[in-house]
Amino acid sequence: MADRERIATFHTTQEGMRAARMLQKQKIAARLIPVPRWLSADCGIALTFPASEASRVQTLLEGGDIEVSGYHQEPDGSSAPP
Amino acid sequence: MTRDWKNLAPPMVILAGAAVGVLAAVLVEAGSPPNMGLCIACFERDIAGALGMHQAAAVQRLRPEIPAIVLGALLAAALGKELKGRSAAAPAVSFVLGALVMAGALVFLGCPTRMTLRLAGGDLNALVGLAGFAAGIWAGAELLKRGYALGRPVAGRLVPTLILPILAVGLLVLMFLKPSFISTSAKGPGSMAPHVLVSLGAGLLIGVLAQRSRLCFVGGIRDMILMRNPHLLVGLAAIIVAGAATKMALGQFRLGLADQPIAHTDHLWNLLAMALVGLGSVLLGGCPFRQLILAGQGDGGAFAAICGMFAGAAVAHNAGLAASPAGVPVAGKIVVAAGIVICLVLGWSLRERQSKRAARDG
Repeated sequence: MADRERIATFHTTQEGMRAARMLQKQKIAARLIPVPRWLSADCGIALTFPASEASRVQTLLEGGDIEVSGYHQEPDGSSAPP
Repeated sequence: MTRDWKNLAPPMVILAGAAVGVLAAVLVEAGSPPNMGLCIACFERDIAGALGMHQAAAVQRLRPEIPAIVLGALLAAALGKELKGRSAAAPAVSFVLGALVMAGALVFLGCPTRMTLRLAGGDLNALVGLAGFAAGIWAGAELLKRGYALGRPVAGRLVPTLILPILAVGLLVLMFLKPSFISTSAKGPGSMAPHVLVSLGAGLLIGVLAQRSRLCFVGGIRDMILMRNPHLLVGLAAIIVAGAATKMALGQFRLGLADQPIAHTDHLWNLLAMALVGLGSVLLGGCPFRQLILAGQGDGGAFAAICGMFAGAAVAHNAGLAASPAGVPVAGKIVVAAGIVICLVLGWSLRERQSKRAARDG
Protein backbone atom coordinates (compact mmCIF):
# COMPACT_ATOMS: atom_id res chain seq x y z
CA MET A 1 0.00 0.00 0.00
CA ALA A 2 1.20 3.47 -0.82
CA ASP A 3 2.21 5.84 1.93
CA ARG A 4 -0.92 7.07 3.72
CA GLU A 5 -1.56 10.75 3.37
CA ARG A 6 -2.08 13.25 6.13
CA ILE A 7 -4.14 16.39 5.74
CA ALA A 8 -3.52 19.78 7.32
CA THR A 9 -6.25 22.43 7.44
CA PHE A 10 -5.83 26.16 7.96
CA HIS A 11 -7.78 29.16 9.17
CA THR A 12 -7.32 31.04 5.91
CA THR A 13 -6.64 30.15 2.28
CA GLN A 14 -3.56 32.29 2.35
CA GLU A 15 -1.92 30.31 5.17
CA GLY A 16 -2.58 27.09 3.26
CA MET A 17 -0.90 28.46 0.16
CA ARG A 18 2.06 29.73 2.13
CA ALA A 19 2.42 26.34 3.78
CA ALA A 20 2.38 24.59 0.40
CA ARG A 21 5.11 26.86 -0.96
CA MET A 22 7.24 26.35 2.14
CA LEU A 23 6.98 22.56 2.12
CA GLN A 24 7.51 22.23 -1.62
CA LYS A 25 10.70 24.26 -1.23
CA GLN A 26 11.89 21.62 1.23
CA LYS A 27 11.13 18.91 -1.37
CA ILE A 28 8.23 17.51 0.61
CA ALA A 29 5.52 16.04 -1.62
CA ALA A 30 2.85 18.41 -0.35
CA ARG A 31 -0.15 19.26 -2.48
CA LEU A 32 -3.04 21.70 -2.12
CA ILE A 33 -6.47 20.10 -2.30
CA PRO A 34 -9.99 21.34 -1.60
CA VAL A 35 -10.90 20.62 2.01
CA PRO A 36 -12.40 17.11 1.85
CA ARG A 37 -16.17 17.10 2.35
CA TRP A 38 -15.93 14.64 5.26
CA LEU A 39 -13.79 17.16 7.12
CA SER A 40 -15.88 20.25 6.60
CA ALA A 41 -18.95 21.79 5.04
CA ASP A 42 -16.80 24.79 4.11
CA CYS A 43 -14.99 25.11 0.81
CA GLY A 44 -11.49 26.16 1.77
CA ILE A 45 -8.19 24.60 0.86
CA ALA A 46 -6.17 21.96 2.65
CA LEU A 47 -2.75 20.45 2.25
CA THR A 48 -1.91 16.77 1.90
CA PHE A 49 1.48 15.26 2.54
CA PRO A 50 2.86 11.77 3.13
CA ALA A 51 2.27 10.56 6.69
CA SER A 52 5.97 9.68 6.91
CA GLU A 53 6.80 13.40 6.74
CA ALA A 54 4.37 14.36 9.50
CA SER A 55 6.86 15.38 12.15
CA ARG A 56 9.02 17.32 9.70
CA VAL A 57 5.97 19.14 8.35
CA GLN A 58 4.82 20.05 11.83
CA THR A 59 8.24 21.44 12.76
CA LEU A 60 8.53 23.42 9.54
CA LEU A 61 5.07 24.97 9.80
CA GLU A 62 5.55 25.85 13.46
CA GLY A 63 8.90 27.41 12.65
CA GLY A 64 7.32 29.34 9.78
CA ASP A 65 4.64 30.91 11.95
CA ILE A 66 1.86 29.14 10.07
CA GLU A 67 -1.04 28.22 12.27
CA VAL A 68 -2.65 24.91 11.38
CA SER A 69 -6.26 24.49 12.45
CA GLY A 70 -5.91 20.70 12.49
CA TYR A 71 -4.05 17.61 11.27
CA HIS A 72 -6.17 14.78 9.96
CA GLN A 73 -5.66 11.22 8.87
CA GLU A 74 -7.32 10.24 5.67
CA PRO A 75 -9.85 7.46 6.30
CA ASP A 76 -9.21 4.05 4.72
CA GLY A 77 -9.83 3.81 1.00
CA SER A 78 -10.31 7.59 0.97
CA SER A 79 -14.02 7.16 0.35
CA ALA A 80 -15.73 9.88 2.26
CA PRO A 81 -17.62 8.84 5.38
CA PRO A 82 -20.51 11.14 6.32
CA MET B 1 -4.19 8.39 -2.55
CA THR B 2 -6.62 11.23 -2.81
CA ARG B 3 -6.65 11.45 -6.58
CA ASP B 4 -9.36 8.91 -7.15
CA TRP B 5 -12.44 9.85 -9.14
CA LYS B 6 -14.64 10.40 -6.09
CA ASN B 7 -12.46 13.29 -5.00
CA LEU B 8 -12.23 14.79 -8.45
CA ALA B 9 -15.89 14.33 -9.36
CA PRO B 10 -17.89 13.77 -6.19
CA PRO B 11 -21.23 12.10 -6.99
CA MET B 12 -23.04 14.47 -4.61
CA VAL B 13 -21.90 17.55 -6.56
CA ILE B 14 -23.03 15.99 -9.82
CA LEU B 15 -26.38 15.09 -8.28
CA ALA B 16 -26.85 18.61 -6.88
CA GLY B 17 -25.91 20.19 -10.21
CA ALA B 18 -28.24 17.91 -12.17
CA ALA B 19 -31.06 18.69 -9.72
CA VAL B 20 -30.59 22.45 -10.19
CA GLY B 21 -30.56 22.04 -13.99
CA VAL B 22 -33.71 19.93 -14.07
CA LEU B 23 -35.63 21.82 -11.37
CA ALA B 24 -34.94 25.24 -12.93
CA ALA B 25 -36.43 24.07 -16.23
CA VAL B 26 -39.39 22.58 -14.37
CA LEU B 27 -39.87 25.89 -12.52
CA VAL B 28 -40.02 27.72 -15.86
CA GLU B 29 -42.59 25.20 -17.09
CA ALA B 30 -44.56 25.81 -13.89
CA GLY B 31 -44.63 29.57 -14.43
CA SER B 32 -41.25 31.04 -13.44
CA PRO B 33 -39.80 33.74 -15.75
CA PRO B 34 -38.48 32.24 -19.01
CA ASN B 35 -34.74 31.73 -19.53
CA MET B 36 -34.48 31.96 -15.73
CA GLY B 37 -36.29 29.47 -13.51
CA LEU B 38 -33.89 30.18 -10.71
CA CYS B 39 -31.73 33.26 -10.20
CA ILE B 40 -30.45 34.17 -6.76
CA ALA B 41 -29.73 37.81 -7.62
CA CYS B 42 -33.02 38.36 -9.50
CA PHE B 43 -35.10 36.68 -6.82
CA GLU B 44 -33.44 38.61 -3.99
CA ARG B 45 -34.09 41.76 -6.02
CA ASP B 46 -37.74 40.74 -6.41
CA ILE B 47 -38.04 40.25 -2.64
CA ALA B 48 -36.40 43.64 -2.03
CA GLY B 49 -39.00 45.16 -4.35
CA ALA B 50 -41.89 43.35 -2.68
CA LEU B 51 -40.75 44.78 0.67
CA GLY B 52 -40.74 48.28 -0.80
CA MET B 53 -36.97 48.71 -0.89
CA HIS B 54 -37.15 49.69 -4.57
CA GLN B 55 -39.90 50.95 -6.85
CA ALA B 56 -39.33 49.02 -10.09
CA ALA B 57 -42.91 47.85 -10.62
CA ALA B 58 -42.04 44.92 -12.91
CA VAL B 59 -39.74 43.13 -10.46
CA GLN B 60 -41.51 42.88 -7.12
CA ARG B 61 -42.50 39.55 -5.60
CA LEU B 62 -41.86 37.57 -2.44
CA ARG B 63 -40.05 34.62 -3.98
CA PRO B 64 -40.27 31.47 -1.85
CA GLU B 65 -37.15 29.92 -3.44
CA ILE B 66 -34.70 32.15 -1.53
CA PRO B 67 -35.99 31.46 2.02
CA ALA B 68 -36.54 27.81 1.05
CA ILE B 69 -32.90 27.40 -0.04
CA VAL B 70 -31.72 28.92 3.26
CA LEU B 71 -34.01 26.63 5.26
CA GLY B 72 -32.95 23.60 3.21
CA ALA B 73 -29.30 24.37 3.95
CA LEU B 74 -30.13 24.86 7.63
CA LEU B 75 -31.94 21.52 7.75
CA ALA B 76 -29.09 19.66 6.04
CA ALA B 77 -26.47 21.32 8.23
CA ALA B 78 -28.44 20.55 11.39
CA LEU B 79 -28.89 16.89 10.40
CA GLY B 80 -25.20 16.64 9.55
CA LYS B 81 -24.24 18.32 12.84
CA GLU B 82 -22.53 21.05 10.83
CA LEU B 83 -24.57 23.95 12.13
CA LYS B 84 -22.09 26.23 13.78
CA GLY B 85 -22.22 29.89 14.49
CA ARG B 86 -19.36 31.81 12.98
CA SER B 87 -19.09 35.55 13.17
CA ALA B 88 -18.07 37.61 10.16
CA ALA B 89 -14.38 38.45 9.87
CA ALA B 90 -15.03 41.73 8.06
CA PRO B 91 -18.79 42.38 7.80
CA ALA B 92 -18.45 45.83 6.23
CA VAL B 93 -16.27 44.44 3.44
CA SER B 94 -18.68 41.54 2.88
CA PHE B 95 -21.56 44.03 2.73
CA VAL B 96 -19.84 46.17 0.09
CA LEU B 97 -18.73 43.16 -1.96
CA GLY B 98 -22.25 41.73 -1.80
CA ALA B 99 -23.72 45.02 -3.06
CA LEU B 100 -21.20 45.21 -5.93
CA VAL B 101 -21.78 41.58 -6.94
CA MET B 102 -25.50 42.34 -7.04
CA ALA B 103 -24.91 45.45 -9.19
CA GLY B 104 -22.86 43.37 -11.64
CA ALA B 105 -25.50 40.65 -11.74
CA LEU B 106 -28.24 43.20 -12.47
CA VAL B 107 -26.25 44.64 -15.37
CA PHE B 108 -25.65 41.19 -16.88
CA LEU B 109 -29.20 40.20 -15.89
CA GLY B 110 -28.39 37.17 -13.81
CA CYS B 111 -26.19 35.76 -11.10
CA PRO B 112 -23.83 32.87 -11.89
CA THR B 113 -26.73 30.45 -11.30
CA ARG B 114 -28.86 32.06 -13.98
CA MET B 115 -25.86 32.54 -16.25
CA THR B 116 -25.30 28.78 -16.18
CA LEU B 117 -29.02 28.11 -16.73
CA ARG B 118 -29.11 30.60 -19.61
CA LEU B 119 -26.19 28.74 -21.16
CA ALA B 120 -28.06 25.46 -20.72
CA GLY B 121 -31.01 27.02 -22.54
CA GLY B 122 -28.89 28.02 -25.55
CA ASP B 123 -28.58 31.74 -24.69
CA LEU B 124 -25.12 32.47 -26.10
CA ASN B 125 -24.94 35.86 -24.34
CA ALA B 126 -24.25 33.76 -21.27
CA LEU B 127 -21.13 32.42 -22.99
CA VAL B 128 -19.85 36.01 -23.20
CA GLY B 129 -20.78 36.40 -19.53
CA LEU B 130 -18.96 33.18 -18.67
CA ALA B 131 -15.76 34.48 -20.29
CA GLY B 132 -15.92 37.61 -18.14
CA PHE B 133 -16.87 35.57 -15.08
CA ALA B 134 -13.82 33.32 -15.51
CA ALA B 135 -11.58 36.34 -16.02
CA GLY B 136 -12.91 37.92 -12.80
CA ILE B 137 -12.32 34.68 -10.90
CA TRP B 138 -8.79 34.48 -12.29
CA ALA B 139 -8.11 38.01 -11.02
CA GLY B 140 -9.56 37.06 -7.64
CA ALA B 141 -7.42 33.91 -7.52
CA GLU B 142 -4.32 36.01 -8.23
CA LEU B 143 -5.25 38.22 -5.26
CA LEU B 144 -5.67 35.10 -3.10
CA LYS B 145 -2.21 33.92 -4.13
CA ARG B 146 -0.83 37.29 -3.11
CA GLY B 147 -2.25 36.99 0.37
CA TYR B 148 -5.78 38.42 0.20
CA ALA B 149 -7.94 37.25 3.07
CA LEU B 150 -11.18 38.53 4.55
CA GLY B 151 -9.68 37.55 7.88
CA ARG B 152 -10.28 34.74 10.27
CA PRO B 153 -13.88 34.04 11.14
CA VAL B 154 -14.42 33.62 14.85
CA ALA B 155 -16.39 30.68 16.16
CA GLY B 156 -19.61 32.13 17.48
CA ARG B 157 -22.70 30.91 19.23
CA LEU B 158 -25.82 29.22 18.00
CA VAL B 159 -28.39 31.98 18.55
CA PRO B 160 -27.04 34.40 15.89
CA THR B 161 -27.02 31.44 13.48
CA LEU B 162 -30.78 31.16 13.80
CA ILE B 163 -31.57 34.79 12.93
CA LEU B 164 -31.48 34.37 9.15
CA PRO B 165 -33.63 31.21 9.20
CA ILE B 166 -36.13 33.07 11.41
CA LEU B 167 -36.17 35.94 8.90
CA ALA B 168 -36.67 33.36 6.14
CA VAL B 169 -39.65 31.89 7.98
CA GLY B 170 -40.94 35.44 8.47
CA LEU B 171 -40.84 36.02 4.70
CA LEU B 172 -42.81 32.82 4.14
CA VAL B 173 -45.39 33.91 6.70
CA LEU B 174 -45.75 37.27 4.90
CA MET B 175 -46.20 35.35 1.66
CA PHE B 176 -49.22 33.54 3.03
CA LEU B 177 -50.67 36.47 5.04
CA LYS B 178 -50.27 38.93 2.12
CA PRO B 179 -50.35 42.17 4.16
CA SER B 180 -51.04 45.33 2.17
CA PHE B 181 -47.49 46.72 2.33
CA ILE B 182 -46.17 43.84 0.23
CA SER B 183 -46.05 44.70 -3.48
CA THR B 184 -46.48 42.11 -6.22
CA SER B 185 -45.89 42.96 -9.89
CA ALA B 186 -48.97 42.90 -12.11
CA LYS B 187 -46.80 42.47 -15.22
CA GLY B 188 -43.18 41.76 -16.09
CA PRO B 189 -40.92 39.07 -14.61
CA GLY B 190 -42.23 39.79 -11.10
CA SER B 191 -45.70 38.68 -12.15
CA MET B 192 -44.52 35.24 -13.23
CA ALA B 193 -44.23 32.51 -10.63
CA PRO B 194 -45.05 28.86 -10.12
CA HIS B 195 -47.42 27.73 -7.38
CA VAL B 196 -45.89 28.63 -4.01
CA LEU B 197 -45.60 25.00 -2.97
CA VAL B 198 -43.71 24.08 -6.16
CA SER B 199 -41.21 26.89 -5.51
CA LEU B 200 -40.92 25.95 -1.85
CA GLY B 201 -40.32 22.28 -2.59
CA ALA B 202 -37.73 22.99 -5.29
CA GLY B 203 -35.93 25.53 -3.07
CA LEU B 204 -35.80 23.20 -0.06
CA LEU B 205 -34.46 20.31 -2.13
CA ILE B 206 -31.84 22.51 -3.80
CA GLY B 207 -30.80 23.93 -0.40
CA VAL B 208 -30.33 20.47 1.09
CA LEU B 209 -28.38 19.14 -1.90
CA ALA B 210 -26.20 22.25 -2.12
CA GLN B 211 -25.29 22.07 1.57
CA ARG B 212 -24.35 18.39 1.29
CA SER B 213 -22.35 18.93 -1.90
CA ARG B 214 -20.88 22.44 -1.45
CA LEU B 215 -21.98 23.24 -5.03
CA CYS B 216 -20.58 26.66 -5.94
CA PHE B 217 -20.34 28.40 -9.26
CA VAL B 218 -17.34 30.54 -8.35
CA GLY B 219 -15.65 27.79 -6.35
CA GLY B 220 -15.70 25.48 -9.38
CA ILE B 221 -13.57 27.75 -11.51
CA ARG B 222 -11.50 29.08 -8.58
CA ASP B 223 -10.41 25.62 -7.46
CA MET B 224 -9.58 24.69 -11.03
CA ILE B 225 -7.29 27.73 -11.26
CA LEU B 226 -5.74 27.40 -7.79
CA MET B 227 -5.46 23.62 -7.50
CA ARG B 228 -6.28 22.16 -10.92
CA ASN B 229 -9.08 20.36 -9.14
CA PRO B 230 -12.43 20.02 -10.91
CA HIS B 231 -14.37 18.74 -7.86
CA LEU B 232 -16.90 21.61 -8.00
CA LEU B 233 -16.64 22.37 -11.70
CA VAL B 234 -18.33 19.04 -12.45
CA GLY B 235 -21.40 20.48 -10.74
CA LEU B 236 -21.58 23.28 -13.30
CA ALA B 237 -21.15 20.78 -16.10
CA ALA B 238 -23.98 18.73 -14.59
CA ILE B 239 -26.26 21.80 -14.52
CA ILE B 240 -25.56 22.53 -18.17
CA VAL B 241 -26.02 18.93 -19.35
CA ALA B 242 -29.11 18.18 -17.25
CA GLY B 243 -30.53 21.65 -17.82
CA ALA B 244 -30.06 21.52 -21.61
CA ALA B 245 -31.56 18.03 -21.82
CA THR B 246 -34.61 19.04 -19.75
CA LYS B 247 -35.06 22.31 -21.66
CA MET B 248 -34.90 20.44 -24.98
CA ALA B 249 -37.45 17.93 -23.75
CA LEU B 250 -39.76 20.73 -22.61
CA GLY B 251 -39.25 22.85 -25.73
CA GLN B 252 -37.50 25.69 -23.87
CA PHE B 253 -34.14 25.38 -25.64
CA ARG B 254 -33.36 28.26 -28.03
CA LEU B 255 -29.86 28.58 -29.44
CA GLY B 256 -28.70 32.10 -30.32
CA LEU B 257 -27.79 35.60 -29.17
CA ALA B 258 -30.73 37.75 -30.20
CA ASP B 259 -34.16 38.00 -28.61
CA GLN B 260 -33.42 35.79 -25.63
CA PRO B 261 -35.98 36.39 -22.85
CA ILE B 262 -34.93 38.86 -20.12
CA ALA B 263 -31.45 39.36 -21.63
CA HIS B 264 -29.57 41.94 -23.71
CA THR B 265 -26.83 41.61 -26.31
CA ASP B 266 -24.38 44.27 -25.13
CA HIS B 267 -21.35 41.96 -25.20
CA LEU B 268 -18.81 44.30 -23.61
CA TRP B 269 -20.99 44.98 -20.60
CA ASN B 270 -22.14 41.37 -20.31
CA LEU B 271 -18.45 40.50 -20.12
CA LEU B 272 -17.43 43.22 -17.66
CA ALA B 273 -20.50 42.82 -15.45
CA MET B 274 -19.81 39.12 -14.98
CA ALA B 275 -16.11 39.88 -14.42
CA LEU B 276 -17.25 42.03 -11.48
CA VAL B 277 -19.49 39.21 -10.23
CA GLY B 278 -16.65 36.67 -10.49
CA LEU B 279 -14.06 38.88 -8.84
CA GLY B 280 -16.35 40.06 -6.04
CA SER B 281 -17.55 36.52 -5.39
CA VAL B 282 -14.02 35.11 -5.05
CA LEU B 283 -13.24 37.85 -2.54
CA LEU B 284 -16.44 36.92 -0.68
CA GLY B 285 -15.55 33.23 -0.79
CA GLY B 286 -18.52 32.14 -2.87
CA CYS B 287 -21.16 33.08 -5.44
CA PRO B 288 -24.57 34.48 -4.39
CA PHE B 289 -25.99 30.93 -4.37
CA ARG B 290 -23.24 29.68 -2.08
CA GLN B 291 -23.72 32.69 0.23
CA LEU B 292 -27.28 31.51 0.90
CA ILE B 293 -26.01 28.04 1.84
CA LEU B 294 -23.17 29.36 4.01
CA ALA B 295 -25.54 31.76 5.77
CA GLY B 296 -28.01 28.92 6.28
CA GLN B 297 -25.35 26.88 8.08
CA GLY B 298 -24.43 29.80 10.30
CA ASP B 299 -21.81 31.94 8.57
CA GLY B 300 -22.04 35.58 9.65
CA GLY B 301 -19.92 36.81 6.73
CA ALA B 302 -22.39 35.32 4.28
CA PHE B 303 -25.21 36.99 6.21
CA ALA B 304 -23.50 40.36 5.76
CA ALA B 305 -22.98 39.63 2.07
CA ILE B 306 -26.68 38.84 1.61
CA CYS B 307 -27.63 42.10 3.38
CA GLY B 308 -25.29 43.87 0.94
CA MET B 309 -26.97 42.15 -2.00
CA PHE B 310 -30.42 43.34 -0.90
CA ALA B 311 -29.11 46.88 -0.43
CA GLY B 312 -27.31 46.70 -3.78
CA ALA B 313 -30.48 45.51 -5.52
CA ALA B 314 -32.54 48.31 -4.01
CA VAL B 315 -30.05 51.01 -4.96
CA ALA B 316 -29.49 49.50 -8.43
CA HIS B 317 -33.18 49.81 -9.30
CA ASN B 318 -33.84 53.11 -7.52
CA ALA B 319 -30.81 54.70 -9.20
CA GLY B 320 -31.67 53.20 -12.57
CA LEU B 321 -28.42 51.35 -13.10
CA ALA B 322 -29.89 47.89 -13.65
CA ALA B 323 -29.99 46.70 -17.25
CA SER B 324 -33.11 45.63 -19.13
CA PRO B 325 -33.65 43.81 -22.44
CA ALA B 326 -33.32 47.31 -23.97
CA GLY B 327 -29.68 47.51 -22.87
CA VAL B 328 -27.36 48.80 -20.17
CA PRO B 329 -27.86 52.38 -18.86
CA VAL B 330 -24.81 54.62 -18.56
CA ALA B 331 -25.12 54.58 -14.75
CA GLY B 332 -24.86 50.78 -14.85
CA LYS B 333 -21.67 50.94 -16.90
CA ILE B 334 -20.12 53.43 -14.49
CA VAL B 335 -20.97 51.29 -11.48
CA VAL B 336 -19.59 48.10 -13.08
CA ALA B 337 -16.32 49.82 -13.98
CA ALA B 338 -16.06 51.44 -10.56
CA GLY B 339 -17.02 48.14 -8.91
CA ILE B 340 -14.16 46.29 -10.57
CA VAL B 341 -11.73 48.98 -9.41
CA ILE B 342 -13.14 48.91 -5.85
CA CYS B 343 -12.82 45.10 -5.71
CA LEU B 344 -9.22 45.24 -6.93
CA VAL B 345 -8.34 47.94 -4.40
CA LEU B 346 -10.01 46.02 -1.56
CA GLY B 347 -8.35 42.78 -2.64
CA TRP B 348 -4.94 44.40 -2.82
CA SER B 349 -5.19 46.34 0.43
CA LEU B 350 -6.53 43.39 2.42
CA ARG B 351 -3.48 41.21 1.87
CA GLU B 352 -2.34 39.66 5.11
CA ARG B 353 1.18 40.60 6.00
CA GLN B 354 3.57 37.74 6.41
CA SER B 355 5.90 37.88 9.37
CA LYS B 356 9.53 38.48 8.45
CA ARG B 357 10.42 35.05 9.65
CA ALA B 358 7.73 33.39 7.54
CA ALA B 359 8.74 35.41 4.52
CA ARG B 360 12.35 34.29 4.93
CA ASP B 361 11.38 30.61 5.29
CA GLY B 362 8.66 30.66 2.64
